[in-house]
Amino acid sequence: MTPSPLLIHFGDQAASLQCDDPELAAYLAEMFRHSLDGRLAPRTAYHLEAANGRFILRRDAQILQTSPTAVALLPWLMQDLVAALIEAQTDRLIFHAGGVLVDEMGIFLGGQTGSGKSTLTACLLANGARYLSDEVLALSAGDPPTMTGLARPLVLKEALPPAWAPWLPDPTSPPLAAMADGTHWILPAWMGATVAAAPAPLRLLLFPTYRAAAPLAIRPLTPAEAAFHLLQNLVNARNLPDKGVSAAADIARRVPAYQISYDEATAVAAWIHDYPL
Amino acid sequence: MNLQQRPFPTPGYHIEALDGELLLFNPASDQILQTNQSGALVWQLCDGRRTVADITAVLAAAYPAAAAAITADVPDILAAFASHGAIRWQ
Repeated sequence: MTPSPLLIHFGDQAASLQCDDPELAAYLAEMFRHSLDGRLAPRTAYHLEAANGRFILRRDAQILQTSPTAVALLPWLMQDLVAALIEAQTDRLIFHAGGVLVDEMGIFLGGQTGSGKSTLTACLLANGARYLSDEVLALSAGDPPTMTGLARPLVLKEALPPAWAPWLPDPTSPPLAAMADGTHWILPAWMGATVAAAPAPLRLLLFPTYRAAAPLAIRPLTPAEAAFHLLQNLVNARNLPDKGVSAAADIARRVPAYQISYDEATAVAAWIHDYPL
Repeated sequence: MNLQQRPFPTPGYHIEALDGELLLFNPASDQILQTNQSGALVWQLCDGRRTVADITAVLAAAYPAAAAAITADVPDILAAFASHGAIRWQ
């Protein structure tokens, strides 16, 4: 019996994901359990199927990728699915950013792929924060602005040893899936963290950059610098009035912002812990 | 850069002022330029009538203690504006 398609949503967009293999379908349902919602009609349909000894990933019937193993297709699925969910968003500003709640106050962690925001997000979860996202945040203007996140599993890069391994209570117990691209998908619950589904007040804009062997350096940003950094990470600018400049500037005027260079994520977590949110 | 050139803002730029600093956004090219307060002052003087020398003189008179730095910085700031297409010359 073919499993029912998963309906994965974020903001005003949804995608369906049909996986013919029951075991893999159950795994994906677990990974995306915080983003499942059947209320929106999907604009995009993914299908992961087996045929002639290979696995095929399709988007809207078009073949995206094939592989001898299904798990090798999952990084492609994640990348394409996230893009499909965010690029057509029209009612909010969507950023490449991680996000957590500390004492119910929203913290934005902006940065492009490779800046270390997923690792930093994981560290903050291990230190008691609630999870919004490790990759995509939506901000709505207001006083204060509010934030919601695409609560996919954290996608953490493998390293020797992984920086995130100490933050898992027992790194050997969860069903870690090593992806073909050298990442692991990790649910926030495995770090003891809960997921925040409701919009949260945005209280702090951080733009962290990982630099090996660098001392912790934290610099306050002016509102113009903060707006500039926000716009560098905005992914749906083309859908917004004046490409989102006015809205980003409004957020930057209201929320303190810092640029952070770090080597040890725990040092950033300690700074946030002491910050008067 | 010729000190007698007269810079003026490229039409169509979206300007956001934030605490004395500026974001200059060109909707046609999607280019964004962020300036500090010095850059914001220079931008406000780019009216197509003042020359580069005039702009430097106005700011040096307003901030005499920083006159030497202003003389050095104004051409650099204008060059940054020009490289982003935010100003043109006449």
